[in-house]
Amino acid sequence: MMFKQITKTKNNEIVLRQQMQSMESATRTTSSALWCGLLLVVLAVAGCDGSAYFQFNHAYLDRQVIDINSGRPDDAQIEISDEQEENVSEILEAAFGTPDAPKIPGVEGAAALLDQEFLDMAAGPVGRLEDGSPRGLYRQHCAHCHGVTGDGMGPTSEFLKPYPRDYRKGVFKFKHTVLGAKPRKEDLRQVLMEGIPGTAMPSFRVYDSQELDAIIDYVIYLAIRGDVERQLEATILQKTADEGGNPLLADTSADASAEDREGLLDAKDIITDVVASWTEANDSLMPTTEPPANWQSDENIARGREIFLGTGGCVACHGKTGLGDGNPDLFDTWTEELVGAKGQSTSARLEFYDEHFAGTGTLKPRNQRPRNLRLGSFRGGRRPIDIYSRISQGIAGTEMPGGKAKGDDAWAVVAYVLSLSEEVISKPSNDLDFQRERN
Amino acid sequence: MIKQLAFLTLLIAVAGCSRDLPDRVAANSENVNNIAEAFTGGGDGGQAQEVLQEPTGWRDLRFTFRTSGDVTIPKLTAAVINKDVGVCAPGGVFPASRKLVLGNGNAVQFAAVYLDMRNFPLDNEKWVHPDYAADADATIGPFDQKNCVFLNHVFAMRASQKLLIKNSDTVGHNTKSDAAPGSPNVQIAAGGETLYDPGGKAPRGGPVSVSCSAHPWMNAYFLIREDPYNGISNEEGVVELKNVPTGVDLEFRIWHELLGNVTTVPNVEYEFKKGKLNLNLEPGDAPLEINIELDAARLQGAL
Repeated sequence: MMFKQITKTKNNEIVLRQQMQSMESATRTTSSALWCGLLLVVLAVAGCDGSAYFQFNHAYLDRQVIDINSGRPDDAQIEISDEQEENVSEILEAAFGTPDAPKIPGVEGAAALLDQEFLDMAAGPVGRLEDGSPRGLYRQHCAHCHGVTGDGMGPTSEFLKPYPRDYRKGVFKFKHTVLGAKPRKEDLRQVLMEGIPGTAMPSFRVYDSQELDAIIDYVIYLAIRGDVERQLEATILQKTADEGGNPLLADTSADASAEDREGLLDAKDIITDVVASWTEANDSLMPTTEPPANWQSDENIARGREIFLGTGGCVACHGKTGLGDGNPDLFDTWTEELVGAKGQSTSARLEFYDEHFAGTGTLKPRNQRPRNLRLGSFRGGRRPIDIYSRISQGIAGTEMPGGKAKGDDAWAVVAYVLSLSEEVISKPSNDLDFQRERN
Repeated sequence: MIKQLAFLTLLIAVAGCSRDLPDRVAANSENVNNIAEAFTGGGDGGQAQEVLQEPTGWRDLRFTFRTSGDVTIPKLTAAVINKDVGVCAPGGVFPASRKLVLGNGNAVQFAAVYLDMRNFPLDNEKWVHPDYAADADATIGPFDQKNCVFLNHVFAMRASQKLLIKNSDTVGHNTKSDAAPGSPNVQIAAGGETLYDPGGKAPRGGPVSVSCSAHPWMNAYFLIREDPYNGISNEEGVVELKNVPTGVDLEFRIWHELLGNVTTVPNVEYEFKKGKLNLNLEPGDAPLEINIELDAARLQGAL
């Protein structure tokens, strides 16, 4: 039974296959052959069917059900049936296709935003066409962490800290658009080029520019699909709460009447809105001001420190010394959906997870750690404009707010934050050498 | 053999066998094909076309919210308010939960009423009374916070309006809402203020949660709608909607934080259909009065 779990997702399966291929070529001894044979048998028994599929977002749906039922008496509790879940999956597949054959949904703006050739290049199994063009780039480079579905739950995810990004909320932390806006493709490209320092996300700058474009389009495609999935789930849940029973979003059978398919209009509206939020990203660049002259002067750093400790409210999370020890009881927006409601103790919030989500395939919640600013390592980039962006706009999906300072004041905080890693106290102590010598 | 065992161990670890995964939800390929046309651009998948009705005039609506009996509202405790206690629980007095706020005679404050209709004709002056144009893009508010409480626990606004958010406390707050358009998350220094602009967009569904990261027990809701026919009950439990179109089918949502969407109400002669209050108003000078009684036992149970 252990091996059956191993093969439940396509990305797991890819890892297995790759490992098996390398084993086949590398081993010639009888014992190794027997070993490979054993693995093959295990895979066969485990039901490895070779087709990739998008994982249904059970966790989001389950959380909404819990929240709705908490305000309802026992005799009015709602449940979502298997048929309703299949109905959501059918609408999603009709609009977005499958991991092997992705489709751009036929709504306004989608074809201009996404390139079908790029999607084809990034999707599907890893390989190359006869002309040498790559296929399966996403599964080759991304899926082992971010998952085939883009749910951030690839096979390696639970061993990483922080966990890989779950695209399905359509929220991306590091960008140069205003808070609440989607990232531009340039923002995602920056992440691919630079990686994310302090995390397992590497730089992909050695790859062909077109390949990066393909991955960017596919990540956006997964983000749109995941966001739409969440909204369809919310819609069918609301319908269930309103109407009772287990209504479908739309009748998908061949002989359904026009009235029975009205729900497809809602689905199309949802997709249109989500696509529009991405197409608007290019018009949502954050406002910036030029840094004043001598913005990294001692006086300006002192001004930044004053804001940091005072009106900026930075110490609430980053602590007075910038070590990130101000507030350990925070969860990011992805984790918030798995833990108990705000206003309870952290242990009570985690007990909620244990009660409802442990063993459901979700990743065990971790608290959000405010950045230790003395390390000099910034996940969204170390350029002054990157820090400025975090201070003026906050960080999407986290408790880090924007608006802490504006204009020259914001640049003063940038100067102070960048200066922290240069302070003597942030450097390794000579005392350590002294102690080593003594020992 | 040891190498192979080590490899298998690594394989199992990498493959993530320690996590159970939910079952696959498979789509029926025939059903997928049946509706594929709806998502290929241009095609409507055979959905019904809506016919726009013609309003005959205007009438005011007046909703009054009360509980069916007494409800005891608990106070927050030191375990919850564990920060800035001098400001958030002045004099050591901890505030009552804001999940239910009652006025005189069990009047329920902060219940919401809003129109919830697909493709409401916003630009049609027969559907939206001209008086509403005056403050369509006004800055409204303030949405204030004092003693670590959002004074307006539920605040209604139109997507075209802007909202002044104030912090009347002596400690900093941030006002955060992931689900509100633009996902505001703004730090407001003590005594400071900021402006929130939904940019003409309204979230799907009803009220969206607003919180303060610095003081996690602080919670409120924004009700942001494109049309003007919405409101929040006051201290008397009353919501007044002015100049509602008559002679057309209208669908209203009734919402309270503890109950979510209220889908049935005792002793109301108007029809609830698919979770919404269905009205087709006749013209009249006097407001149409609708009394909504919320079940005290359910409210108490949800507190």
